[in-house]
Amino acid sequence: MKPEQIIIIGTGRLPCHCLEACQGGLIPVAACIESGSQGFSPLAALCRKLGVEYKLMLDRKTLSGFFLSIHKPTLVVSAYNYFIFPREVLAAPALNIVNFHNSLLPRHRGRNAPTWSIYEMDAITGITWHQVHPAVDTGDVILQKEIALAGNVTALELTLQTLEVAAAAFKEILPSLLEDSYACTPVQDNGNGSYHRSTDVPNDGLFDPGWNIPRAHAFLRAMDYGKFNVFPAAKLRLLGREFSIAGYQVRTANPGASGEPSVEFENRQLRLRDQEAELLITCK
Amino acid sequence: MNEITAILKTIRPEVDFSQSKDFIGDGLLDSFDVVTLVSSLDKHFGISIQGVDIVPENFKDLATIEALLRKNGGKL
Repeated sequence: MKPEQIIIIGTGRLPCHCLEACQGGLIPVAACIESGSQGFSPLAALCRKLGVEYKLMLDRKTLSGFFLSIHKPTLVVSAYNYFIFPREVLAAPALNIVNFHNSLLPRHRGRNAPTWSIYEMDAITGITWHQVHPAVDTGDVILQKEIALAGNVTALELTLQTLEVAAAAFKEILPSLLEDSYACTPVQDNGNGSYHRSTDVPNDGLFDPGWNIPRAHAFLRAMDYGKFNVFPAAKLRLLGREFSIAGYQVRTANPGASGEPSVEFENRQLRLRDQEAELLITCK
Repeated sequence: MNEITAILKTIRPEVDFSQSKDFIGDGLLDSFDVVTLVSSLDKHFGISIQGVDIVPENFKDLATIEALLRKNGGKL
Protein backbone atom coordinates (compact mmCIF):
# COMPACT_ATOMS: atom_id res chain seq x y z
CA MET A 1 0.00 0.00 0.00
CA LYS A 2 1.49 3.34 -1.02
CA PRO A 3 1.63 5.77 1.90
CA GLU A 4 -0.34 9.01 1.84
CA GLN A 5 1.67 10.53 4.66
CA ILE A 6 4.91 10.04 6.59
CA ILE A 7 5.47 10.13 10.32
CA ILE A 8 9.00 10.19 11.70
CA ILE A 9 9.75 9.08 15.24
CA GLY A 10 13.13 9.23 16.95
CA THR A 11 15.58 11.51 18.65
CA GLY A 12 18.77 13.35 17.77
CA ARG A 13 20.03 14.15 14.31
CA LEU A 14 19.02 11.01 12.38
CA PRO A 15 15.28 11.85 12.33
CA CYS A 16 16.32 15.33 11.14
CA HIS A 17 18.17 13.81 8.20
CA CYS A 18 15.13 11.65 7.45
CA LEU A 19 12.83 14.68 7.59
CA GLU A 20 15.10 16.63 5.25
CA ALA A 21 15.18 13.70 2.83
CA CYS A 22 11.37 13.61 2.78
CA GLN A 23 11.00 17.33 2.16
CA GLY A 24 9.92 18.44 -1.29
CA GLY A 25 8.36 15.10 -2.14
CA LEU A 26 4.72 14.51 -3.04
CA ILE A 27 3.99 12.71 0.20
CA PRO A 28 3.87 15.03 3.21
CA VAL A 29 5.45 14.51 6.59
CA ALA A 30 2.42 14.75 8.87
CA ALA A 31 4.40 14.88 12.11
CA CYS A 32 7.70 14.22 13.80
CA ILE A 33 7.63 12.59 17.19
CA GLU A 34 10.45 12.74 19.68
CA SER A 35 10.27 9.65 21.86
CA GLY A 36 13.22 10.49 24.08
CA SER A 37 14.92 13.75 24.91
CA GLN A 38 17.73 15.05 27.09
CA GLY A 39 16.94 18.68 26.36
CA PHE A 40 18.97 18.72 23.16
CA SER A 41 16.46 18.53 20.34
CA PRO A 42 17.55 19.46 16.84
CA LEU A 43 14.35 17.78 15.62
CA ALA A 44 12.12 20.35 17.36
CA ALA A 45 14.12 23.19 15.82
CA LEU A 46 14.03 21.69 12.33
CA CYS A 47 10.27 21.07 12.55
CA ARG A 48 9.76 24.70 13.58
CA LYS A 49 11.85 25.84 10.62
CA LEU A 50 10.05 23.63 8.11
CA GLY A 51 6.55 24.09 9.54
CA VAL A 52 6.16 20.39 10.36
CA GLU A 53 4.17 19.38 13.41
CA TYR A 54 6.42 18.27 16.29
CA LYS A 55 5.28 16.20 19.25
CA LEU A 56 7.26 15.21 22.31
CA MET A 57 5.78 11.91 23.53
CA LEU A 58 7.67 10.05 26.22
CA ASP A 59 4.87 7.85 27.48
CA ARG A 60 4.28 4.44 25.91
CA LYS A 61 0.53 4.61 26.32
CA THR A 62 0.31 8.01 24.65
CA LEU A 63 2.51 6.83 21.80
CA SER A 64 0.45 3.69 21.27
CA GLY A 65 -2.77 5.69 21.34
CA PHE A 66 -1.38 8.13 18.81
CA PHE A 67 -0.39 5.43 16.33
CA LEU A 68 -3.65 3.53 16.79
CA SER A 69 -5.58 6.69 15.91
CA ILE A 70 -4.04 6.78 12.41
CA HIS A 71 -6.26 5.43 9.64
CA LYS A 72 -4.62 6.95 6.57
CA PRO A 73 -1.92 4.80 4.88
CA THR A 74 1.22 5.94 6.64
CA LEU A 75 4.92 5.25 6.38
CA VAL A 76 6.33 5.38 9.91
CA VAL A 77 10.08 5.98 9.96
CA SER A 78 11.60 4.91 13.26
CA ALA A 79 14.99 6.63 13.35
CA TYR A 80 16.98 6.29 16.57
CA ASN A 81 13.83 5.59 18.50
CA TYR A 82 13.59 3.68 21.78
CA PHE A 83 9.81 3.20 21.73
CA ILE A 84 9.07 -0.48 21.15
CA PHE A 85 5.96 -0.72 18.99
CA PRO A 86 3.42 -3.00 20.67
CA ARG A 87 1.71 -5.77 18.74
CA GLU A 88 -1.57 -3.90 18.32
CA VAL A 89 0.23 -0.97 16.68
CA LEU A 90 2.18 -3.30 14.39
CA ALA A 91 -1.10 -4.96 13.41
CA ALA A 92 -2.71 -1.65 12.42
CA PRO A 93 -3.42 -2.00 8.67
CA ALA A 94 -2.71 1.65 7.87
CA LEU A 95 0.84 1.59 9.20
CA ASN A 96 4.02 0.47 7.48
CA ILE A 97 6.80 0.82 10.06
CA VAL A 98 10.48 0.74 9.17
CA ASN A 99 13.25 1.00 11.72
CA PHE A 100 16.95 1.82 11.84
CA HIS A 101 19.19 -0.48 13.84
CA ASN A 102 22.87 0.21 14.47
CA SER A 103 24.32 -3.18 13.61
CA LEU A 104 24.20 -5.75 10.85
CA LEU A 105 21.23 -7.80 12.01
CA PRO A 106 20.98 -10.43 13.31
CA ARG A 107 24.23 -9.47 15.07
CA HIS A 108 23.63 -7.43 18.21
CA ARG A 109 19.88 -7.04 18.30
CA GLY A 110 18.61 -4.88 21.14
CA ARG A 111 20.44 -2.06 22.90
CA ASN A 112 23.91 -0.55 22.64
CA ALA A 113 24.90 -2.52 19.55
CA PRO A 114 28.07 -0.45 18.92
CA THR A 115 29.32 -1.48 22.35
CA TRP A 116 28.87 -5.15 21.57
CA SER A 117 30.38 -4.90 18.08
CA ILE A 118 33.54 -3.44 19.63
CA TYR A 119 33.60 -5.69 22.68
CA GLU A 120 33.20 -8.83 20.59
CA MET A 121 35.93 -7.50 18.26
CA ASP A 122 33.84 -7.81 15.11
CA ALA A 123 35.84 -7.00 11.98
CA ILE A 124 32.78 -5.54 10.27
CA THR A 125 29.68 -3.91 11.69
CA GLY A 126 27.14 -1.64 10.07
CA ILE A 127 23.54 -0.56 9.98
CA THR A 128 20.22 -2.10 9.05
CA TRP A 129 16.95 -0.56 7.88
CA HIS A 130 14.28 -3.18 8.42
CA GLN A 131 10.57 -3.77 8.75
CA VAL A 132 9.37 -3.79 12.33
CA HIS A 133 8.12 -7.11 13.63
CA PRO A 134 6.80 -7.92 17.11
CA ALA A 135 10.11 -9.43 18.27
CA VAL A 136 12.74 -6.69 18.62
CA ASP A 137 15.03 -6.23 15.61
CA THR A 138 13.88 -9.35 13.80
CA GLY A 139 12.00 -7.78 10.91
CA ASP A 140 12.84 -8.36 7.28
CA VAL A 141 15.84 -6.41 6.04
CA ILE A 142 15.33 -3.56 3.58
CA LEU A 143 18.93 -2.41 3.36
CA GLN A 144 22.19 -3.04 5.19
CA LYS A 145 25.44 -1.10 4.94
CA GLU A 146 28.74 -2.29 6.31
CA ILE A 147 31.25 -0.32 8.38
CA ALA A 148 34.79 -1.62 8.85
CA LEU A 149 35.62 -1.50 12.54
CA ALA A 150 38.80 0.45 13.19
CA GLY A 151 40.98 -0.86 16.02
CA ASN A 152 40.79 2.37 17.97
CA VAL A 153 37.15 3.39 17.56
CA THR A 154 35.11 4.04 20.72
CA ALA A 155 31.45 3.21 21.23
CA LEU A 156 30.56 6.90 20.95
CA GLU A 157 32.49 7.32 17.71
CA LEU A 158 30.98 4.19 16.22
CA THR A 159 27.49 5.31 17.20
CA LEU A 160 28.08 8.55 15.30
CA GLN A 161 29.39 6.65 12.28
CA THR A 162 26.31 4.43 12.21
CA LEU A 163 24.04 7.48 12.26
CA GLU A 164 25.83 9.02 9.29
CA VAL A 165 25.66 5.80 7.31
CA ALA A 166 22.01 5.34 8.26
CA ALA A 167 21.11 8.81 6.98
CA ALA A 168 22.70 8.09 3.59
CA ALA A 169 21.05 4.67 3.43
CA PHE A 170 17.65 6.18 4.18
CA LYS A 171 17.94 8.48 1.17
CA GLU A 172 18.68 5.39 -0.91
CA ILE A 173 15.59 3.47 0.19
CA LEU A 174 13.12 6.37 0.46
CA PRO A 175 11.88 6.34 -3.18
CA SER A 176 11.04 2.64 -3.01
CA LEU A 177 9.40 3.05 0.41
CA LEU A 178 7.15 5.76 -1.00
CA GLU A 179 6.35 3.68 -4.08
CA ASP A 180 5.86 0.57 -1.97
CA SER A 181 8.16 -1.16 -4.38
CA TYR A 182 11.00 -2.29 -2.13
CA ALA A 183 12.14 -5.85 -1.60
CA CYS A 184 12.74 -7.33 1.83
CA THR A 185 14.96 -10.17 2.89
CA PRO A 186 14.23 -12.26 5.96
CA VAL A 187 16.98 -12.02 8.57
CA GLN A 188 19.27 -15.00 8.22
CA ASP A 189 20.43 -16.13 11.63
CA ASN A 190 23.24 -18.55 10.95
CA GLY A 191 24.09 -18.89 14.58
CA ASN A 192 25.76 -15.49 14.72
CA GLY A 193 22.73 -13.62 16.03
CA SER A 194 22.68 -12.12 19.51
CA TYR A 195 20.43 -9.97 21.67
CA HIS A 196 21.49 -7.46 24.31
CA ARG A 197 19.28 -5.86 26.92
CA SER A 198 19.78 -2.29 28.07
CA THR A 199 21.00 -3.64 31.40
CA ASP A 200 23.65 -5.89 29.83
CA VAL A 201 27.20 -4.63 30.33
CA PRO A 202 30.35 -6.16 28.82
CA ASN A 203 31.89 -8.54 31.38
CA ASP A 204 29.52 -7.01 33.94
CA GLY A 205 31.60 -3.83 33.75
CA LEU A 206 34.66 -5.49 35.26
CA PHE A 207 38.09 -5.06 33.70
CA ASP A 208 40.18 -8.23 33.75
CA PRO A 209 43.93 -7.49 34.19
CA GLY A 210 44.63 -10.90 32.67
CA TRP A 211 43.36 -9.82 29.27
CA ASN A 212 45.84 -9.21 26.49
CA ILE A 213 46.07 -5.64 25.22
CA PRO A 214 43.75 -5.95 22.17
CA ARG A 215 41.07 -7.60 24.34
CA ALA A 216 41.53 -5.06 27.16
CA HIS A 217 41.48 -2.12 24.76
CA ALA A 218 38.33 -3.44 23.09
CA PHE A 219 36.60 -3.65 26.48
CA LEU A 220 37.56 -0.06 27.37
CA ARG A 221 36.50 1.30 23.97
CA ALA A 222 33.23 -0.64 24.12
CA MET A 223 32.41 1.07 27.42
CA ASP A 224 33.48 4.51 26.18
CA TYR A 225 30.59 6.86 25.41
CA GLY A 226 32.51 9.92 26.53
CA LYS A 227 30.50 11.57 29.26
CA PHE A 228 27.25 9.87 28.40
CA ASN A 229 26.29 7.67 31.32
CA VAL A 230 25.36 4.70 29.16
CA PHE A 231 27.13 2.36 31.60
CA PRO A 232 28.49 2.80 35.09
CA ALA A 233 32.26 3.41 35.12
CA ALA A 234 34.23 0.24 34.44
CA LYS A 235 35.69 -1.37 37.56
CA LEU A 236 38.98 -2.99 38.34
CA ARG A 237 39.46 -5.32 41.31
CA LEU A 238 43.05 -5.58 42.43
CA LEU A 239 44.90 -6.11 45.69
CA GLY A 240 41.65 -6.70 47.51
CA ARG A 241 40.24 -3.32 46.47
CA GLU A 242 37.86 -2.08 43.82
CA PHE A 243 38.79 0.89 41.65
CA SER A 244 36.86 2.86 39.04
CA ILE A 245 38.55 3.32 35.69
CA ALA A 246 38.82 7.04 34.95
CA GLY A 247 40.75 6.96 31.69
CA TYR A 248 42.93 4.96 29.38
CA GLN A 249 45.53 5.45 26.74
CA VAL A 250 47.19 3.03 24.34
CA ARG A 251 50.65 3.56 22.92
CA THR A 252 51.83 1.47 20.02
CA ALA A 253 55.45 2.62 19.96
CA ASN A 254 56.88 -0.76 20.81
CA PRO A 255 57.57 0.09 24.47
CA GLY A 256 58.01 -3.45 25.71
CA ALA A 257 59.89 -4.88 22.78
CA SER A 258 62.43 -6.81 24.73
CA GLY A 259 60.22 -8.31 27.40
CA GLU A 260 57.38 -10.71 27.98
CA PRO A 261 53.83 -9.34 28.40
CA SER A 262 53.66 -7.63 31.78
CA VAL A 263 51.17 -6.04 34.15
CA GLU A 264 52.14 -3.38 36.70
CA PHE A 265 50.02 -1.38 39.12
CA GLU A 266 51.47 1.70 40.74
CA ASN A 267 50.02 5.04 41.89
CA ARG A 268 46.56 3.97 40.76
CA GLN A 269 47.81 3.38 37.27
CA LEU A 270 47.62 -0.03 35.65
CA ARG A 271 50.14 -0.62 32.89
CA LEU A 272 49.81 -3.55 30.49
CA ARG A 273 52.67 -4.15 28.10
CA ASP A 274 53.38 -6.55 25.32
CA GLN A 275 55.84 -6.52 22.45
CA GLU A 276 53.74 -4.15 20.38
CA ALA A 277 51.92 -1.82 22.71
CA GLU A 278 51.39 -0.37 26.13
CA LEU A 279 47.99 0.27 27.68
CA LEU A 280 47.84 2.76 30.54
CA ILE A 281 44.72 2.75 32.67
CA THR A 282 44.10 5.46 35.25
CA CYS A 283 42.03 4.44 38.25
CA LYS A 284 40.38 6.32 41.08
CA MET B 1 36.36 32.75 22.15
CA ASN B 2 38.21 31.81 18.99
CA GLU B 3 39.38 28.56 20.53
CA ILE B 4 35.81 27.53 21.34
CA THR B 5 34.59 28.51 17.89
CA ALA B 6 37.39 26.50 16.30
CA ILE B 7 36.44 23.43 18.34
CA LEU B 8 32.76 23.87 17.46
CA LYS B 9 33.70 24.04 13.78
CA THR B 10 35.49 20.70 14.00
CA ILE B 11 32.28 19.13 15.33
CA ARG B 12 29.78 20.82 12.98
CA PRO B 13 31.84 22.25 10.11
CA GLU B 14 28.75 23.04 8.07
CA VAL B 15 27.29 25.35 10.73
CA ASP B 16 27.92 29.08 11.09
CA PHE B 17 27.68 29.45 14.86
CA SER B 18 28.06 33.23 14.65
CA GLN B 19 24.55 33.42 13.19
CA SER B 20 22.89 31.88 16.24
CA LYS B 21 22.15 33.19 19.71
CA ASP B 22 20.85 29.84 20.92
CA PHE B 23 22.80 26.82 19.67
CA ILE B 24 20.44 24.36 21.37
CA GLY B 25 17.14 26.07 20.59
CA ASP B 26 18.20 26.48 16.99
CA GLY B 27 19.05 22.79 16.80
CA LEU B 28 22.71 23.32 15.96
CA LEU B 29 23.95 20.89 18.62
CA ASP B 30 22.42 17.59 19.62
CA SER B 31 23.40 15.47 22.63
CA PHE B 32 26.13 13.64 20.68
CA ASP B 33 27.60 16.96 19.54
CA VAL B 34 27.61 18.26 23.11
CA VAL B 35 29.33 15.18 24.52
CA THR B 36 31.90 15.36 21.70
CA LEU B 37 32.35 19.08 22.43
CA VAL B 38 32.89 18.39 26.15
CA SER B 39 35.56 15.78 25.35
CA SER B 40 37.30 18.24 23.04
CA LEU B 41 37.12 21.06 25.60
CA ASP B 42 38.46 18.76 28.34
CA LYS B 43 41.39 17.79 26.17
CA HIS B 44 42.14 21.25 24.79
CA PHE B 45 41.95 23.07 28.13
CA GLY B 46 43.23 20.26 30.35
CA ILE B 47 40.10 20.19 32.49
CA SER B 48 37.31 17.77 33.30
CA ILE B 49 33.80 19.12 32.86
CA GLN B 50 31.45 17.25 35.16
CA GLY B 51 28.54 15.24 33.80
CA VAL B 52 26.06 17.27 35.88
CA ASP B 53 27.11 20.35 33.90
CA ILE B 54 26.12 18.79 30.58
CA VAL B 55 22.79 20.58 30.39
CA PRO B 56 21.37 22.69 27.56
CA GLU B 57 21.73 26.04 29.34
CA ASN B 58 25.53 25.63 29.50
CA PHE B 59 25.78 25.26 25.73
CA LYS B 60 23.38 27.96 24.62
CA ASP B 61 26.04 30.21 23.12
CA LEU B 62 29.73 31.05 23.24
CA ALA B 63 29.32 33.07 26.45
CA THR B 64 27.71 30.20 28.39
CA ILE B 65 30.33 27.74 27.11
CA GLU B 66 33.05 30.17 28.16
CA ALA B 67 31.46 30.48 31.63
CA LEU B 68 31.37 26.69 31.91
CA LEU B 69 35.05 26.50 31.01
CA ARG B 70 36.00 29.11 33.60
CA LYS B 71 33.92 27.35 36.25
CA ASN B 72 35.91 24.18 35.57
CA GLY B 73 39.27 25.92 35.67
CA GLY B 74 39.77 26.42 31.94
CA LYS B 75 42.06 29.31 31.00
CA LEU B 76 40.93 31.22 27.93
